[in-house]
Parts: sequence; C-alpha cells; structure tokens
Amino acid sequence: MNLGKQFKEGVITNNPVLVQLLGMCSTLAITTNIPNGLGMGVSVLIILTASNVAISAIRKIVPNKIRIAMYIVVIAGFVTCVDLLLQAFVPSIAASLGVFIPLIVVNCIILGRAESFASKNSILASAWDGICQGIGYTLVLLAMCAVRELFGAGTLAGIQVLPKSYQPAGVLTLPVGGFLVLGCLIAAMQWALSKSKKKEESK
Amino acid sequence: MSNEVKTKEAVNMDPKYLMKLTLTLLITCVIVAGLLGLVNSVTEGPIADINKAATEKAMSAVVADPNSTFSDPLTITDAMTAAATQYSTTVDSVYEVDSNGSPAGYAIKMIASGSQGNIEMMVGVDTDGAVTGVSIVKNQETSGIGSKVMNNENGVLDQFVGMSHADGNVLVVGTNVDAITGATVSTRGVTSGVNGALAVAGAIG
Amino acid sequence: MTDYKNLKLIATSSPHIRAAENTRSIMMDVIISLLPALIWAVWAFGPRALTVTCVSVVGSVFWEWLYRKLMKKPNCVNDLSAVVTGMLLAFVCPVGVGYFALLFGDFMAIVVTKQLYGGIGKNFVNPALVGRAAMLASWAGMMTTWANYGTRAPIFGSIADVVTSATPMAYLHGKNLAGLKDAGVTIADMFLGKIGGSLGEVSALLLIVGGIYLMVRKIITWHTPTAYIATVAVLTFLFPRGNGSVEWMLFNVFGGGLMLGAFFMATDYTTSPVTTKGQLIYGIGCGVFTVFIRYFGSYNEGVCYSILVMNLFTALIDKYVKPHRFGVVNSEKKEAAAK
Repeated sequence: MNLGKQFKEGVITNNPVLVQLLGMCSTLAITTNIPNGLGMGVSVLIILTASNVAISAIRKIVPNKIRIAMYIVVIAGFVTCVDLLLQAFVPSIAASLGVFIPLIVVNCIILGRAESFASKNSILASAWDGICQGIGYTLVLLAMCAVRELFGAGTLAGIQVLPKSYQPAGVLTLPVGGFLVLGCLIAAMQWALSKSKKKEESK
Repeated sequence: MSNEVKTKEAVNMDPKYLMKLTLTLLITCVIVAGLLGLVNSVTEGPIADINKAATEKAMSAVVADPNSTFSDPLTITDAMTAAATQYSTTVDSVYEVDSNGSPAGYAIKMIASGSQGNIEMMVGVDTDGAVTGVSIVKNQETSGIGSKVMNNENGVLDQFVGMSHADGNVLVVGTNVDAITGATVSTRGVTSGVNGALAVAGAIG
Repeated sequence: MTDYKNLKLIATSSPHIRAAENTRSIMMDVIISLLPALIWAVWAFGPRALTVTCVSVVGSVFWEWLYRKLMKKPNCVNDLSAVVTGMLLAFVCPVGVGYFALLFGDFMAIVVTKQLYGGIGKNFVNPALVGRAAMLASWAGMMTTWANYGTRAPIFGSIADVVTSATPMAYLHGKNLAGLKDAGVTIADMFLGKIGGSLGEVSALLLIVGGIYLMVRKIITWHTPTAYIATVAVLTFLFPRGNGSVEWMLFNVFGGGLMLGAFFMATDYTTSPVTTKGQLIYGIGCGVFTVFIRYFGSYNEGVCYSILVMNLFTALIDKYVKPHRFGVVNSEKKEAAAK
C-alpha cells in the first residue's frame, strides 16, 4: 500500500473526472454553485469509500458471474442511506441536488473503482482509494463550480464577489457552459500531464 | 476491467452452482434491505417533520393573510380529479383556508410534471377564484436552471398572483406568463399546476 | 525529384483557377460592403455605434492573435477574417450592448467556434451568430433592449437613459400590424432604416447596396440571398397575420436582420453549401426556419437561429446534391436504358 502514490493518482494523474472521464453527467449538471458541488462531492466521497470497503470485504466470496449485480446492490444501499440521511438532516442540500443523489447509484466512478480497484485490493487500500478518488472528484467539482458561479452569477458560495456592475454571463450556468468549462479543464489537465511526462522523459 | 471474463465461456448449468449464485445474491439483498430499514427508521421521523413543516410554510406563503389557519385535508372528489386532469396535473390535497374566522379560499397542493420529474406545489386560490400565491414544495428540476423557477427568481412565481380563469382565460407561457430563459419547460410545469389548481377550486365551489 | 513533403497542397473544390484574389482581398471587400450600414448606424444611433463596432473588431482580432500565439500556430490576423467576424457580431447587437459582453461574444465566436475547430475555413457554424447566441443566453435583457432611431447613446456610462420602445419586429411577433402603423412606422422607414433595431440591421437599403457590391465583385453569388429572401416573402405573403398580405410581407422582408443575414451571414463560404443547387436549398431552408421562428417561436426574430440550424445541414446538403461528374453516366439512367 502506497499512500502518497494513491493520493497523487486519485487527485492528479488518474483523476476520476479529468483523466478517467467518469461521472460526467453529475459533473456537468450540478456544478452551478459551490454548495451544490461540495454537497455532491462529499456525498460521492462517502458513498465511494463505504462501497469500496464493503466490496473489498466481500471480494473473495462474490461469485465472478454475478459480481456486477452484487456491487450494484451494495452501492444502491449506500446511496439510499446517504439520500435518506441528507433529506433528514441537511434538507437544503437534498433539495438543491434533487435527483442527482439517487443517480449516484449509476455514477460510473463508483462502479468503476469497485471493479478496477476494490475487487482486487485489501480493505484498507480500498478505503484510501475511495477517499483519494472522492477528493479528486470533489476538487474538480469545486473548480467547475467556482468558475461557473463566479462568472455565471458573480458570486462565490452565494456571496457577491464581483462588483454589482458586472452583469453575469448566464450562459455559463446553462448546460452549454458546463460543457465549455469541463472541456477547458480536461484540456488543461492533459496539457499539464503531457508536459510533466516530457519532463520526466528528458531527465 | 477484470481479465477473468472470457468472451466464449461455457455456461455452467450445474444446479448447485446456480443455487449458490441465487442464494448469495438473495442474502446480500436481504442484508442491504435490513440496513436500509434501520436507516429509514432513524430518518423517517425527521423527514416527515420536515415535509410537514414545508407544507405548512408553503401554505402560509400562498395565502393573502399570513395568520390564516388551515383545515385538515378535504376529501378529493371525482370532480376535482377531473378538473386537474384537464391540465395534465394531479391534485394531491386541498385545504380550506380560514382567515379571522371567515373562509378565505383554498390552499391546493398540485403535482405537475416539470422537466426532470414531478413538481409539487402549493397554490392559494381566494374565494373569487384568483391566485393568491404559488410556492414550490418539492421538485427535481435541474439545479441552476429549472431551480431558478423553483426559487422564484425574477419573480417568476409572483407573476401568477391575481391571475384567474375569469373570462375563460387559460394561463399560457409566452402569452400571459413569462418564462425564464432555458427553463421554459419548468415554467410550463408550474403554469399547468396553477391552471389545474384554479380548475380544482372551481370544481369545489 | 519533387519535394512532396514541402509542397503546399490546398484542397478546394473545382474549378481550380488562379486569380489574384485571396482571403484578405475577399474580406476587404466584405468590410467595404458593410461600411454603408455602419455609417448609417452611427447616424441612427449615435457615436456609440462606432465604438461598439470598434471594440468588437479589436476584441476579435485580439482573441485570434492570442489563441494563435498561445498555441504556437502561424498568425493569420492579416487575413482580416477576424475583423469581419467582429463587425458582423457588433451589427447583430443592439447599440446599448455592454463592451464586456461584446468581448465575451468575440471570445465565443473566435476562440470557441472558429479556432478550436481548426481556424478559418474549418468552423461548422457561423462564428458571429454563435457569439450573438451566447450573448443572448447570458444577457437576455441587454440583448433585447433596442434603442430608438435617432437616439444618441452615450459612448461610456449608463445606457439606461436611452429611449427604447418596441421594435417593428416586436409588433410583428405580436401579430399587431395595425399597432405598428399607429406607431408611425411606414414601409419606407423600414426600407431606409429609420427604425429601432440591432446596430447594423436597420437599413435594408444600404445592406442591399452592400450585397450588390459583393455580387458585382463576385464575392458571393445571388443564389442563397435570393432563395432566402424570396422564401420569407412567399411564406409571409401566403400566410399574413394582419390586414393586407403585401404590406405584411414587405414589413417582414425589410424588418429584423433578414437582409444582413441573407447577404452577409448565410453566404459565409465555410458554412454554406458549395453547389448552386445546394445554396438554393440552403436559402429556402433558412427562409422557412426564419418564418417559423418569427411566427411560432418565443423570440421576435428568427434569422440568427435559422442560419445556425441550416449551417448544421450544410454537410448533408453538400452530400446529397453532388454534381454529376462529367462523362459519368448516371447508373439509374443506364439501367433504364438497358431495359
């Protein structure tokens, strides 16, 4: 188990959104303001860590043929738990995220990590992987939220940041803005990765 | 993805093996369902409280007098259901509004379809059949787009106040209702709910 | 031996004729043809019309230069295509548009629509119209507040004092031909441009003059604009929404951005079909969509979106109206002959 390497992979070199290109639907849909992004990111982080642990724990007894069905049952269980808890104790976040919390069940990041990591690694490593990938996802969400909220509404986390005279570019909070910002982020990430790769090669 | 899956694997039809698969899946489902039941028992109370508080808050928000009291839900008659169906909406519950001891119309909870799912909303209708207010109880509209309508940005919900079906005017987005850019479908959903509520109120009286 | 690697091969549709004209000279002609409308805009809306156009042009050129520089690609600012895009974008905005919004529109037009797809000749929709669509989605209020004819919009500061009223297009959208005439707008006003509207679109006359100049210089052909305007004319004549089909038709043809769109936007080389038959189909499609949006849409004006929609059909049109190659017998005819 390599804590530092896994962390670096989760956040940068194998970032779930920008490099693996998983979980795009929620990334595009809910990143219109920072509280939404934070709520979604933390929910995914918790569900991902929990499901990674559970799947890693049962990885030796799961028959190969029905593993996907088992994973989905486990993931759906955790998602429903988080959904109920959010509704009961943080109703404002539950209301603003709406349908996207139940949709975490089919978020590819969770099934992807279950299949490619948790089903092959120890419980501790899987838990750490869940946390790292979750942080990577949350950071991307926050970056997108910050850009879209700042220029699309002139606020950050609901607080007016840009002067009132700035008329926000509402197109950024529309779906098209989500695609634009995500495209730019992915391009920047690939550019940075290829640059650091070249650097390593030239060494 | 796992390398163990081979494309042309002979299907193992051994009954024992099939039994094992079924049982494993069944046991997992039972365990997960049990856990969910546990979580549900913890969260059921708070969620019900929150929904009730939201309903009452929504009701007081849509009537003219904020100190109004509300009756228990009325029985939904066939006439009400038919009136709501006319505008492709469903009437959820109807409450009589009482302001200072005199009847002041109805608070009607409607379910209309938005762009992502159902929009539950409370519509206040006074005794003359005019809207006294609209507020959204529950929705699944897209965050940042449809939610603009739900959050009453630009007063999109306030514009309904005072509108009625008098003179046979049905509310239509683009004609007498203004939509928010990008959220026309959500606005249409709310409008159909208001139309339905007005029809239901007419069916009561 | 020929040095094939360094040969400059340019793929274009035939016929391959060498001529002195290049992108720069074509764009220069387009700019010249737009100047009358610009001068009219300054006359009609005050000096802000000029500053808005200048800011848009400078913004376009700046984004183009910056992108090519950052991406380490050969700089092609000199071909003047960014200048034309900037001018057209300013022309489809109201005179009260904010300068910052214009720079954003320029960014969407030049960087997102044009350069990200490979630069001039590779964009699949009209850059200026995408810029306008993005601005409309962002600042719906600002983009639909049109100054009246004869107002003097201040160059800096608030444009809130600018006198505005419903444009002819708003009356037409509301099926209110009588109201439009009551407001004192005549067909001659519409033709000359003594009306409120977007900066460069008001004067049908001067835009037609510009369009004819382009045709005389053989920059554009008559097919697309004629098919476009004729389709709008026929449809509005056949289905008038007021008393008097001819009047209704003329108001519709001279109103809004139709002339600007037909002569300067729909004829964009990159985003319109190459064959004459294709151009006719494309023009008719634009006209049909324009009338549909004006009649049934929630916006007053449909030129912008109709051209954007038809841009997307360009590749299909080109595919299905391929001209027959000379000397190749149509296989169906051959079969028929064999029978």
